Amino acid sequence: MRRSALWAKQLLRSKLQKKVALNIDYMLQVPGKIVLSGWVGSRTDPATSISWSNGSTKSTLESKLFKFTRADVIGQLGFQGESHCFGFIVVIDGLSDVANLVASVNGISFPLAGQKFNSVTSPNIVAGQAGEKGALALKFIEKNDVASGQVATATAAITLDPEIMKIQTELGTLNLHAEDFVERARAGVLDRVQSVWKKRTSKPNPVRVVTHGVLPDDPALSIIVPIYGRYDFVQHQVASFSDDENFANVEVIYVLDDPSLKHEFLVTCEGVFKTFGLPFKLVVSTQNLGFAGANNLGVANARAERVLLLNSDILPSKPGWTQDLIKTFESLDNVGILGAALLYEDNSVQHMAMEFRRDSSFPGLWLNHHPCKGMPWDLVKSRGVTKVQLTTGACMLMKKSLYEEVGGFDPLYVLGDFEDSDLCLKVLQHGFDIYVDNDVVLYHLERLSQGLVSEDNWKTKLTMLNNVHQLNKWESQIERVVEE
Amino acid sequence: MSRILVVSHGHPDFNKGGAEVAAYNLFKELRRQGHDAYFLARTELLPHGGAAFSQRNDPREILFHTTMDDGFLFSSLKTKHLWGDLRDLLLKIKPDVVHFHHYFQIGIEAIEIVRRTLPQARIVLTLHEYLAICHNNGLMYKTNGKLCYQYSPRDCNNCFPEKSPGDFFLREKYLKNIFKNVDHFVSPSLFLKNRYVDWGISEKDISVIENGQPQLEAIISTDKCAEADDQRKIKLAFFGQVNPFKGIDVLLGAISSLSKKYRERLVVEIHGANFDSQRGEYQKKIKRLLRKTRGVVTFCGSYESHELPGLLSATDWVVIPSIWWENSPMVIQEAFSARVPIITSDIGGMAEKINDEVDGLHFRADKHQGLAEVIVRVIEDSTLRGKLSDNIAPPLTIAECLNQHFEIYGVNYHAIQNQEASEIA
Repeated sequence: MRRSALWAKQLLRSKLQKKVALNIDYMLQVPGKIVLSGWVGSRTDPATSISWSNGSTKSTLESKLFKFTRADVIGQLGFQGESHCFGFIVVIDGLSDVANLVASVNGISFPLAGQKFNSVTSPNIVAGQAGEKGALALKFIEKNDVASGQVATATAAITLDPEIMKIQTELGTLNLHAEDFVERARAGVLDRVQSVWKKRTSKPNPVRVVTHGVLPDDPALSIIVPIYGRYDFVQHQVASFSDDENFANVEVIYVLDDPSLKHEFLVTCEGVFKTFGLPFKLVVSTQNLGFAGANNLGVANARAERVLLLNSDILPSKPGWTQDLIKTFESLDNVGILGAALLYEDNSVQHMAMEFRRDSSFPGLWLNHHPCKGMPWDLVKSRGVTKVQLTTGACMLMKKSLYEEVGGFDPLYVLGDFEDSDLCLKVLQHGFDIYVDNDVVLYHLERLSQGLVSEDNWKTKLTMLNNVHQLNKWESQIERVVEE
Repeated sequence: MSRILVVSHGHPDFNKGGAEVAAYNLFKELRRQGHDAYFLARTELLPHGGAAFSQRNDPREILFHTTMDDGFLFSSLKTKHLWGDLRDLLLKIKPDVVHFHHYFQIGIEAIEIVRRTLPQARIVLTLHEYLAICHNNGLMYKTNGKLCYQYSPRDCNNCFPEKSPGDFFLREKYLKNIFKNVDHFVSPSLFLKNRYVDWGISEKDISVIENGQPQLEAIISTDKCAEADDQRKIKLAFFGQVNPFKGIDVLLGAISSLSKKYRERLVVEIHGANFDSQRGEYQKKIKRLLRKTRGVVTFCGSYESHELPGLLSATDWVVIPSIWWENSPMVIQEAFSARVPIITSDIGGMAEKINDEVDGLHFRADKHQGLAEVIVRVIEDSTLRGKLSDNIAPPLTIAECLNQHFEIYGVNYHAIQNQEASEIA
C-alpha cells in the first residue's frame, strides 16, 4: 500500500491497546504554522474532531482540519468504520515549537513530544497521505499556508459525503469473510445501499459541455475518458495523443465526474489545449455519478459510430493504436467488444483478458480474474486477436448503437465495480463475441495496492456487495460462460 | 544573420548558479562578437502590474516573471505565461535558434510552445544536471543517502513513496515527449551525457561542450606557493554553495581526524554561500565540525566572482569533496585558470574533468579518511603542487566554447554570415 513505509508494526501494537489512538505521520513547518498529517481511531465512542493546545501555556490554538478516509487504518487495526476513525491534515497557527503541542480527542490528551513522525519540507508529501483526495488536500494546505502576519480566512474543513457515510454504516453490519455474506447482503443490505445510491445518482444533473478547438466533423471514433480525483492524467494523455496524427479523426471526450475539481479541471484543460493543440470536449457533471454513470454520460455526448471507453490512467505505447484497434474491429465477425493488452509501467501484464473465477475467501461469489497479471509481457504475450470471456472496462471499443441497445453500463454498481463484466454479459446475451487485440499494447498505470483478500474495509465490502448484484442478475449466465 | 535567443532559468544579476552564468557568458560573447542575440531569464521578482516581462540592463536582456505550477513535471500550463505571453514574445523576436539552458522554473512546455510557434526554429537544450532523470533535485542521489546509478520508476517510488511507479513513468513519458522537439542537446560533461543516453536520449543527439571561461585579467599564480618550503603552511580552499551534497562535512571530518603535527601545517578556508538557508540539523552538524577544527578552518562566507582570482592566487589546493556526481562544477575551470590543482571526489563530472596524479588528486567520495590521506600526502611532498600545477591545461575560453556551439546552431550559420558579408561588401 502507498502508506506502508509508515507502518511500524511494533509502534502500532501499543496504540492498539488504547481506547483512543492518535498517530502523526508527517510534519511540515512553515513560519508561524505547523502542518501535520495523521489519523485518529477510537475503540468505543465515535471520534469526529481534534483540538490542539500549547502545552506550555495551556492555550487553545487556532487550527483548520481536513478529514479523509483511512481505509487502510480501519482495515488493518479493525476500527468500526469512518465514524470511529479518520485521516486528517491539520494546519495549526501560532506555535513555533512542535514539542509543546498537545492534541486532544474525546477528552484524551496526546502530547506530540512523545510521537514519532517524519519531518518533511514539501506539502505534496503531506497531501499525498489523503490518497484520492490528495489534490483537495493540497489545495487545503495551500489555502491555509499563509505568510505569517496574515489571517487564515477560509474554513476549508471538509465534511465527509453524507450518502457515502450512510452506505458505510450499512456495510458495517456485514462480515466480509462470513459464510452467509451473500445471504445477508441479499437480505436487505444490498437494497438499502442501492436505494441510497439511486437517490444520489438520480438528482437533477445539468451538464456543462466545453469544447476546446475544432473537433472533427465526422469522427471515426469517440474516446470517452471519465475523470475522478486525478485530473492531471488529462495532461499526460493529451500530450501523448497530440503526437499521433490519427487523432485528427478522433473525438476525445473527458467526463468530469468529480464536481469538487471543476475549477481546477477547467483551468488545466484550457492550458493543456493551448499547449498541445489537440481539440477535445469536456462534459462536466454536476453530480458524482460513479464510473458507469460517467461513461454513459460520455457516450450520450459522443458523435462517432464507434466509442472507445478508456480509463484516464492509460497511456499509449506508440502512435497509431486507435487506427490499429479500429482495423481489427472491422476485420472481426460478430464482434461486440474489442479490448487491448494493458501493461504496467515495468512491462508486466495488467490485462490480457478477464475471466470469472471463484475465490475461497469469498464463498459463493464469482470474481473477475486477470490471467497472467504481473507476469513479464515478453514471457506471456500472444500475437493477433484472442476471443475471451470478458475484457476490462479500462479499454473497450464497441459500436455506439450496441452500447445503447444493451443500456450501457449498469449504474447500480455503487461507485464502480463489475459494470465492465456486466456489460460483457449483456453483449454476450445479445449474441455477440468479445475479443482482445494483443497487438495493441497500452500502459495502464494503476496505483500500487495489495490484493483484495488482505483488505477488510468498507471499500472491499462494497466491491463484494456489487458482486452480489452481479450474481443476482447473471448467476446462471456466468456458469454457462465458465463452462464454455 | 541568424538571430539567437538564449533562455535561462535565472539572471546572474540575481542567481549566480553555474547554469545561469554559463548561459549569460554565452550570450555576452555572442554580443561581444556582434551577433544578433537576445537573453531571456526567468525571475521571481514582482513584475509591473502583472506584466510577464521586463527589461534588464539593455533591451536585449529580458526578464520573464513566471513560475512552474507543477514541480514534479516542471510543468506550467495553468497560466497563460507560456502559451500566451511567451508565444507573443517569440512572434516579436522571431529567433532562428532558441538555446534553452534550462526549463526549471520556466516550465518544460516552453519547448513545446517554441516548436509550435516557430516550426522552423532550431531548438538547442543544454542539460546542466540530472533533473529530467531524477526527482531528487536532479542529483541522482537517493533519499536514503546513496548514489543513484540508473532511473527506474520502481526505485524512484522507493525514494518518494508518495508518488507511484506509474507517476514516475508518466513523468518520464511527458518529459521525453516534449524533448522530441529539441533538435540538439549540449552537455558540459561526458558523464552527464552518458546518464541521459542511459535514460533514453540518442547518443548522437548530445554534444559535449565544456562551459567556456570568460577572459579574466591574467591570473598570476603565486610562485611562492610552488617553491618548496618544508615548514610553510599549506592553504586548502573550498568554493561554492554550501549544502549537504557538497561534502563540506567530509572535508571537515578529514581535517579533524589529522594529528596535531599535520593540522599545524594547514590553513583551510571555506568560501561558501547560502549556509543560513540550509536545514537546521545540517547547520548544527557543520557548526559542530567547525568547532572541532577551530584554528585550522575558517568559514569565510560567500564571495563575488570578481574576488575569485585574488582568492585563488593565495590558494595551494582547491578541494571539491562533493558526495553527488556533479556535472561540470565551475570552480574546476576557475581553479585551472589560476593554475591551482584540485583535490576531488573520484566520481562523476569531477573525476572526468580532473585527472588523478596529473592536474589533481582523487579520493574516494564521501570518505573522510581517504581525503585525510591525500592531505597528508600534499603536506609531506612539497614538490607535488608544482608538478601537478605544471600539467594543468588552459581551460576552454568562452570564444572557443561559442565556436563549438555555432556548429550546433545550424550548418548554415556561417554560410549566411558570409553571404551577408559579401552583400554588404
